[in-house]
Amino acid sequence: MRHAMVIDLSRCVGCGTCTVACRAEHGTPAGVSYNKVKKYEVGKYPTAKIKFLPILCMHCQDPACLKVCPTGATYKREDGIVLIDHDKCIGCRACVVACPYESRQFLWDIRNYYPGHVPTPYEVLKQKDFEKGTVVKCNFCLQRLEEGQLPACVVACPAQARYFGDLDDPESEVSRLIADYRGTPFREELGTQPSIYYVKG
Amino acid sequence: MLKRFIDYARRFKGLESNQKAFKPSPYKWKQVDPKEKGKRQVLYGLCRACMQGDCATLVYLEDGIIVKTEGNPEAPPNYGSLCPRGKSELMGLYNPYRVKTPMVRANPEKGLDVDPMWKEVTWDEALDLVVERLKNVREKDPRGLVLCEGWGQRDTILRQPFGQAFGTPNEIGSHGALCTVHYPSGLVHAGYPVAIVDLEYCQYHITLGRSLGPNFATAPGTRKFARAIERGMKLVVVDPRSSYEASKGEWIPIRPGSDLAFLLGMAHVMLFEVQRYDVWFLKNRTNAPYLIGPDGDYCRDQKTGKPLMWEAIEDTAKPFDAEFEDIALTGTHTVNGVECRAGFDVVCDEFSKYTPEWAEGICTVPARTIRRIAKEFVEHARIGSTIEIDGFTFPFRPVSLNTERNVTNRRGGTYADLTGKIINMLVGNIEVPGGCLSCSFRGPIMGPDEDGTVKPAYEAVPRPFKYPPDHIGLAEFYPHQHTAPHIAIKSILDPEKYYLDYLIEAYISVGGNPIKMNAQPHAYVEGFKKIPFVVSVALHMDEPAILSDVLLPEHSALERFRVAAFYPQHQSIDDEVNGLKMIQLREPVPRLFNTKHADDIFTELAERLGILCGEGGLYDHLNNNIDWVDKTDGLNMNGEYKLDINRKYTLKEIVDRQIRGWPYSGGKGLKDLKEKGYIAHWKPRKEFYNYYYFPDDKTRHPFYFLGLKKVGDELRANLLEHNISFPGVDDMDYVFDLYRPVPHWVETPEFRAPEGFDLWAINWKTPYYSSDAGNVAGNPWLAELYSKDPYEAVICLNPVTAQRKNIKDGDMVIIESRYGKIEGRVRVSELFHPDAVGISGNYGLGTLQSNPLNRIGPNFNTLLSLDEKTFDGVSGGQDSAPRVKLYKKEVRK
Amino acid sequence: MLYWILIAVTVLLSVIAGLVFLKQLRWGLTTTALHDTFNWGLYIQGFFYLSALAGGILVFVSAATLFKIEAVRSLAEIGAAVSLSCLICAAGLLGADLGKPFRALKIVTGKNLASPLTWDFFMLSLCGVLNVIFLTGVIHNGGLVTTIWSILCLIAALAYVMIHTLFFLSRVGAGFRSQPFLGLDTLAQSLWGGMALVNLIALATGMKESNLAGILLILTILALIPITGSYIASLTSTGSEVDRKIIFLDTFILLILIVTQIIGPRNTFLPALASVLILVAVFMEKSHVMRQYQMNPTVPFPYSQFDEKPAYKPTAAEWMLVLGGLAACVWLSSGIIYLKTLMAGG
Repeated sequence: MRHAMVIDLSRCVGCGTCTVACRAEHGTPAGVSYNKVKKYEVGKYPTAKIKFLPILCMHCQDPACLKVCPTGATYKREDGIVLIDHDKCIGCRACVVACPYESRQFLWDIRNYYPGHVPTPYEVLKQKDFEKGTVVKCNFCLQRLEEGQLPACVVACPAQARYFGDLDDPESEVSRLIADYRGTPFREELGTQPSIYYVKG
Repeated sequence: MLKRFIDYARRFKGLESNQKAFKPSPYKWKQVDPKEKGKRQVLYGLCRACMQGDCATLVYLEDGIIVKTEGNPEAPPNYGSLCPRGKSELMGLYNPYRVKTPMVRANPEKGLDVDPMWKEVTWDEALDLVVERLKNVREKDPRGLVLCEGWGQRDTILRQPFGQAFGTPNEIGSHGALCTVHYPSGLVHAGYPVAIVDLEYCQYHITLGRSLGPNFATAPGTRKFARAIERGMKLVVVDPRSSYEASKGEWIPIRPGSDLAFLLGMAHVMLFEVQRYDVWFLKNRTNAPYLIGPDGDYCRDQKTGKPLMWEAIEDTAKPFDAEFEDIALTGTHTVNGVECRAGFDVVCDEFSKYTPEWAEGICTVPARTIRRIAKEFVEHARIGSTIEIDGFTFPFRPVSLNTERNVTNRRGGTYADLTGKIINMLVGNIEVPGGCLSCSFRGPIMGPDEDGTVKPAYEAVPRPFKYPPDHIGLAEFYPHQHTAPHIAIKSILDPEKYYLDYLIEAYISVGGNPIKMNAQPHAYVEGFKKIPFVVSVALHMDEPAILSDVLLPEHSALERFRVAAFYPQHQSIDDEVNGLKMIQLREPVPRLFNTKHADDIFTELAERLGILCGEGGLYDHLNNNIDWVDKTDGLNMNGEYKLDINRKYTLKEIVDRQIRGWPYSGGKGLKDLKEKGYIAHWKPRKEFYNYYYFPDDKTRHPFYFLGLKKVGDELRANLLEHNISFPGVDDMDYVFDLYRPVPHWVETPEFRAPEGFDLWAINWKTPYYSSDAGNVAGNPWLAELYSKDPYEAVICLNPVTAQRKNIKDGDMVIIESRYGKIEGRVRVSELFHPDAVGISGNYGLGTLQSNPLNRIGPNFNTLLSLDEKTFDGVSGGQDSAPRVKLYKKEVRK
Repeated sequence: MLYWILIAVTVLLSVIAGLVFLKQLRWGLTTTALHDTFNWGLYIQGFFYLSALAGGILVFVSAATLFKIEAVRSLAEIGAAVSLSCLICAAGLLGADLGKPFRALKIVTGKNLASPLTWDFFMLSLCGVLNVIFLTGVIHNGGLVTTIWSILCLIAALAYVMIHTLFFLSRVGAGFRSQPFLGLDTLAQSLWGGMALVNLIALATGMKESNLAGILLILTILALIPITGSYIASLTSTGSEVDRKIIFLDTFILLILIVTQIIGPRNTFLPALASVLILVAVFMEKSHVMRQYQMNPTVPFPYSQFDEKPAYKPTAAEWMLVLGGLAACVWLSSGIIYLKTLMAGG
């Protein structure tokens, strides 16, 4: 069993729903995003196009972040999900520096979305899970997977550009997509063996 | 604290001075109710984060706190997906800048930056105060009340009957003056609001000035778009900007404001160069073969008065409904002693001028590209092919060209859309699978009138003339206008010039924000100051709210109980919702503040005014109203479920009756709706294509737009009779030039801008700012996205243009039109036409007491013109692409 | 008198730093100018700096011990004290950089031997212990214990100095100056800075007979070559640059040292000046390393086309804390030496 995601870049329209869906799922403090979409331009006028690259934690099988973590706070599960044990994190940020995907963020502070106001009840409820001075990142929506649901970004994506499944099963949708469209991870050359694959780039 | 806010909107540096007015609210949130502790709950929701507002959601609560909104995976049209706005809706609920309790102004001085010195009052005090003033207005002249609605409040069913019961004709939309896109579809398709593409089958789609969904992220539109692109539909996007959609297809950059030239050029190529059109369609389903007399009217049968067509075999003219062996599409003949020409020829005569080379000179699209696009469009149309759906044979035309607001919103914009209709009619794709469909009511709406052509509907039905006019927006002078807040504000400021014989004494704002949504925001502020009594049914401290005398706080979208009928969608259609008849429920979340549902406010006001019950009362009007868009398929008061007009109902009781009377509910009511959150009924797919109801030659679409000419002629006669012109336009022919039956090239005043105004400002909707529903700009989750987006709230420039002006990415510049001036930070981008200055969304403005996010960014609308001469005289639309000059802002040391 | 003023000033600076640290404990790292795209700043720079100096000194001390160079024996003893205080202060600065400083010891239980930080922690600790052992005087007489101590010391010091080249390894691909020079540069800076400090001590304590200007001259060349090499390398790749100011400074130091050699070894001003400049140059180089690694967005072009270029300007609080840390080395060294003489005397 190895959880993996395939992102169809020809479908992605860069709307940012994944970013907000993730925020809503985790209640991340202001300024923290586990799920981002990079926008960039290719070509010159009049044939220029805008392109999108959604990035999140790549759940690498050989993660650079895990290697540099001195306390073992970062660990990898049998099913391929890379997690952070926040009780063990000392906030040294070696993992943030090491991650080649900008997938980790350090909680400099727990900020509210309405600065200058008391936190909203939503934030009060959700921010209990966040500890200032530690590093956070995408957990592949483990809490949802445990309830048999797909990750929030996969469900919410209006372009249906995200697929989620088991990479160890050659018959799974993700495996077939990767095989059919020669899916590749982002920055494959770094050898981190991510579990996020991109197709039709 | 403020520093932190600025920190995360760091890129708006230089605008911090705006922030001085920001005062944190002293409000503390309600504590969690101990009874709710540990409780988990899921409610059926219905998103209201854009104008469409039809995405089915599930709203999750924990400890009585809303923790997330998610798409309902079972329910159409979004099947679990959602957009960034919908996902952010809960932050609009938990918004400290909301109006939390009824308030009355103590400071008589009004302004966006003037503290009204609010005094908190009880609901009874507030309502009594409002009713006392409204009573006086109503006694004096009920027309003196303006009821202004908008995208902020699309969940009320009682606003309209309230206005009717009050007796004012002045219910105006705050937003539509920059979206006058409706007339041509009403004329040609008898549809509303626009024509869209059938993404189930379309193979070649040309889109101009509009979105299929992704550009402003509507979840259902984006779903359909992604599928269509995946199955290989070719997409051609004619746009000054390489939008998200253009980047998934072929981008044809065009000079802003010149789409009409492109369309005329394309039509020219189809008529004179490709010369392959759907002759059967033109002969049998349009008025193209109708003979046109020298007066421009149909050449009519002397006995029956019916329009004549030429019978080619018998070489004679016959009424259109006679038996024809071969209808002549072209030719000049003498009938009844006058020379008549086939409508098709009349159109050709006009279009012969518009060669692609001519078009290139105006719109900068190379002539060879226009030729290629026209050729490809015709090739993909598969003229003559058919498709069988549910046992019914339809013509199959998998191509469509669609235009919308950035094409139609300027002088001549109606012509541009009509030219698009001609292009579509040339391949016979109107209301058939794969083609160009209107997106309103599906059913027998395209029936012929006495002349055999489609009976105009919706906004193509002219409002009757009256002098002096009743309507504050001068519907009498612009009979096909969409909403007209821009004209309303001018008549408020200068009633005499606008021939009004009464004064506006009171104004109720219900989710509408004409100040932010239209040209020249500050003119509206002046208008607001002039109105003696302004009431806002207010969500947050927006521009109308801070200028109000009384604030009646309303629920935010999530708190509003709502049952709505599903409208066919505005961006595109495919089988995911094709044929779907549905009503959707929103179960309200517990309210946070001392707010009320807008409909409860109207009920209270009407009751206290004595116009709730009885004949001519609110209930009486509600009983008799029919849904504007979805007609009998909408939620109406039907048959036995009509209200007893002599007793008071709760909103839920009324809605329950609407549901029971809905033709597809099977007698079910509100209680049953709560089971799944929606009741869906799927009609056979064939019934979705309106061709089905009037196939073959059972109806004819206007190809020669006599309807337009007739309304113009009548209007001219009326103006002459009263010896008046259009207010603000001395030469009435300047407007009547737009009422000709054949589209022709008209220059907007922007083409004649003085030297120095060398660029054109353009604007588009974005995933974070589509329509101002629930203050999206102030939603901090969206703000985090737009503050990091390279194209939001900045000034976009092509690198060549930037270099020519010696401007670098990140420079502060001033953009100046002949009407207004704004400033912003430059983003140099290859995605823009060199003549364009791109400014996205609708940022800026805001008030002393609004969320400071509302004050950030360049306000595009400031650049727009309120001058009638820049409007489209038919639709009343404002020009959305003014000429501008751009220069570096001097940085003071 | 001058000595006591120095102690007073450094103690004062350290007290201020302590207060800043207390404030930081309350508010977290928001008191710094660090942010998501610039994660490591002045604290880590200070840590690299002080640990590099400590390492350089230790190499000197262990070499002198191993080869029984009696002439510098007393200098080595002071050096060990300075090295130990540098290590303590370096650890302090590293602690100040942690989001959760009180959890620092979790590194011990983490046992992640792939992590450079784990190795860094153990090697630094080992050096600290070895320093303390040295200061107790048991390594005085030569023999097997001395040899083992010296070798261990050399290994540990050189190990952690070299480990400091590993932290930004993931960013090397992003266009930093080419890898071949990085290790040599880090090593040279450490030896150079350490020796400059030793030289300053020698000059300050009047141990002029052990004039080290000659060694400094050699080390200056050793430091100058890799940094010039990286500069040349940076010309061939985009997205990286080497601060030429550092090369100029290094060259200037080299010139001073050459002049010193020409005009005669008796001169003390020029070697002192050179040593101070070397300490400045090493500090600049560490700052340069921090910035170089973080100057570009992590994700490469074109994906990061619209990302803001990471920028970092340390806050006053950060400067105060780091200055306090540097200052602490002074009074801490003095304190250790005082303790040692006290113990020796007793």
